[in-house]
Amino acid sequence: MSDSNKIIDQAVSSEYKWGFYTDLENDTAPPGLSEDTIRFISARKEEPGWMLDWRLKAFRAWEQMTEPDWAHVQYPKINYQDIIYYSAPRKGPKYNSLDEVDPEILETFNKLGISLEEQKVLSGVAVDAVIDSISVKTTFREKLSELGIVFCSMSEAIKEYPELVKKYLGSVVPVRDNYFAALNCAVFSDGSFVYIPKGVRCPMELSTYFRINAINTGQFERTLIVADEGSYVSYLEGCTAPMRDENQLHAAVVELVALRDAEIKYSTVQNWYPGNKEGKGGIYNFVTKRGICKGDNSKISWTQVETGSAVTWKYPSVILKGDHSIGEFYSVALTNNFQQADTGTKMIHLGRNTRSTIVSKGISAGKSNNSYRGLVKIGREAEGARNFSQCDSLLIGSTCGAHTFPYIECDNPSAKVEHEATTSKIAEDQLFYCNQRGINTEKAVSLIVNGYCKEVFNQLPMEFAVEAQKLLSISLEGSVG
Amino acid sequence: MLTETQVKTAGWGNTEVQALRARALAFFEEKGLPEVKNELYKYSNIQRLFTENGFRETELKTATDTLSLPELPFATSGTLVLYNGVFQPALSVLPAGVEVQAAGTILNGSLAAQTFALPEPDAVKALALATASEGVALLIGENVQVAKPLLVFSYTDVEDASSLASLHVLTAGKNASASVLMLHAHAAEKRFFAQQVWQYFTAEGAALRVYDMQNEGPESYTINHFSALQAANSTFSLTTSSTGSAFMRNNVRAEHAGEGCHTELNGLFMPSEGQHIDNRTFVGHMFPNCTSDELYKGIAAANGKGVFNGKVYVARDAQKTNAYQSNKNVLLSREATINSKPELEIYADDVKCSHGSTTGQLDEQSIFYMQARGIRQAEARKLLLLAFANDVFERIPDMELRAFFETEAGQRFAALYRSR
Repeated sequence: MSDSNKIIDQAVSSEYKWGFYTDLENDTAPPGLSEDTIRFISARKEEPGWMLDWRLKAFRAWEQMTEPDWAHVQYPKINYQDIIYYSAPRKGPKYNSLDEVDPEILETFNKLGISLEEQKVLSGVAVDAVIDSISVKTTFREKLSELGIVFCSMSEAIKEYPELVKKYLGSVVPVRDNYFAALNCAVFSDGSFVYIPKGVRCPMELSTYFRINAINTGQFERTLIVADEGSYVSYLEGCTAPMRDENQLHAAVVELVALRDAEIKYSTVQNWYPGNKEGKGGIYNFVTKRGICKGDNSKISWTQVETGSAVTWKYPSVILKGDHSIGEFYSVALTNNFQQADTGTKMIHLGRNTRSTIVSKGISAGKSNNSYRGLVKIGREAEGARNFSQCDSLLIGSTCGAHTFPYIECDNPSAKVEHEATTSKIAEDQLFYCNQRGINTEKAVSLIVNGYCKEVFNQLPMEFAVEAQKLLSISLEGSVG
Repeated sequence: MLTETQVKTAGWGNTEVQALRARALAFFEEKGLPEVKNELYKYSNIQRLFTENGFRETELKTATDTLSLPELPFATSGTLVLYNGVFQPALSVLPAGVEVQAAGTILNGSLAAQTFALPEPDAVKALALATASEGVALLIGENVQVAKPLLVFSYTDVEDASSLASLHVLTAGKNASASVLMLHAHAAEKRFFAQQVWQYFTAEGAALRVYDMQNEGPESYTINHFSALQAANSTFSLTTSSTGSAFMRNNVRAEHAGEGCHTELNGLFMPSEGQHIDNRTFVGHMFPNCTSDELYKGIAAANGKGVFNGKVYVARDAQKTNAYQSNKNVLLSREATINSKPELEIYADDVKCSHGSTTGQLDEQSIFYMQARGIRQAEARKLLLLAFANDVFERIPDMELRAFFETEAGQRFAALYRSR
């Protein structure tokens, strides 16, 4: 036991490695939320009138809603009037080449290991980098546009593709969906917009790096991905935020629409600042992510690796409306110190012969709490629907908690729903087996935890899988090699 | 043993209990009947249950001399008769070593506090505690071994749309061992809403098995509150077979107060036409080295609605806990619904906990296999259902009791395919 105690101590003492702060001049709105703030944001972003109306409608809805308290997390009450709702890096002309990009921003990306040049040349990944709400640089756009693929920031999309945005924005996560979604609708700053035309297979992984940068800035991205009939896209979302003492609110909304025969694969690695080892600071991550398999034979797959944030409240969901459509959810959630995570998924089966798979791996260490909360709903008409869910929890240390709250609602007699969950610690005999073969306990824990998460990592694109493993190691430093 | 009048006059004369009842009433008045937004009653609409049926308190008859007891195909060790929740000494026979008192006489200090505790904000239980008439305290003496099951027979005979509640306590003394079979019946064509609170205390090393056959008619709307507090090395098991009642809710709670405890909860629930059966269980692992095992199987036919919501809670210091929970359901018709919510809440690391939940239908291949061998389809389905239900009954160690439960379930299955 003394060995594992040592490991826990070391794990608890590891500091946030991405905690640097880029000194950028910001163009910020005064703190507080009112109709004026929304008009300010909308005006600053040079938005058309219909967008402002939409935002104001959402704001009025939000004012009448109350903050939900059902999740298994505790945090001090958020004062929504203390938050800065808009912050953009100093506005300059749009750059034509990387040389023109603010060198400090490039430096930031280099520290994160996503040098734009490198990405461009080596990995063939188009990066739409978002620093504090404004899309700074979009690469590979020409190449994508040859295929008719639209990959741009949400602000641009609102100006350039208003018909597409009007048709799909808010169609999966309606304005009144929940408290944080309504807030996002009212104040969303920017985000990514992707449209894949009929029959096009996107030749590269699309990727966005989000950064929360300025002090006290809520980050409210809005992402919308539409895959038209027969198309395919894989989208990567990676997040790191610098160290900051005040809690920062993050309430994003992601909407995915897959039409007939289309497939969307959405992968997330989230490594926001989880607070220090006393539980001070850290990000509040209250995100609404939902996809709809609108057409027959469509598929949406969510993969997430969650190692950051002080409080996480996130349920990437799939509405399986088209017949024979498929929903998948693969998740690794790691909590350490005083982190709290309440995460899971919703699979709503409406169409016939719809299938869903849920694999959730939770790892709790330190004094953290990690909950899986999922809903599998089989509608009356979902003939032959099939679901398999597996939720495993691993406990490291005796002061953390792991919880499972699955909801299974079955209204169709031809459906098959299976759920299983286990909770345990790393078995002594597994550690002993490794020790006996000359692998020290630290490396053994690393090996076992990585093996435990393999099922999920296998779903990630290769570059991401490597990063995910790295993040896991950092988050559990000392116990994972 | 007390006489009937003594039980009546002793009706909550206990001032400590009166204060606790007042507290429960205040709690209920503050919270009101739970809405469906309440996680505890998410799948059971209690407000609608009350508004649609207009249950109200009525003057209850407390004695009878014309009650016929159920005939059982096996011997029991004794019989305890409750009429509208009131103990009937003239009809009851108790085995040696088992004593009956009025519940209030033993509910003092921690026993009272435990019985009237509301560990979860459950306003329905608060209402039951506040309005319950004083029931019995069944005391099983130290080292007493009751070999045959003790029958507890409850008969409800009230005006239409009556609401009634009663509270009973059962204590199993040190190293005692006993099993209790609960049977229910009621007067025809009179709807009623009944709440029974049963508080069990198992002393060190005791083993208590409770079997509840819930096969009342469609006039019955019932909420049971079964709570057990287990001292070290004791065993508590509860088996419910819920096939009757228009509305049935079992609130089951077992909590460990010492090391080495074992808890076993088994349930078969079969909601059919117009029925709603909801099982809510909570197993509280508060001490190290305890085990628990739960198996609930649901069969929903016609427009029946079944619910299983089980929670396993493992406290920070409850190391070396082994807790298993399994819920398997079969849907037999288009209109049937099953909602399942198995939960784990774990704060200790050296534990083995798992839960599983499946919902599906009878295997068509198995049915075809039997049909190919000359077994008619209805018969084949009945056989598969029996096999499905037997997983629960197999856990009953007493062979006669097991057969009794199997027969009852078999009749239900046969009726199911006759009515089609």
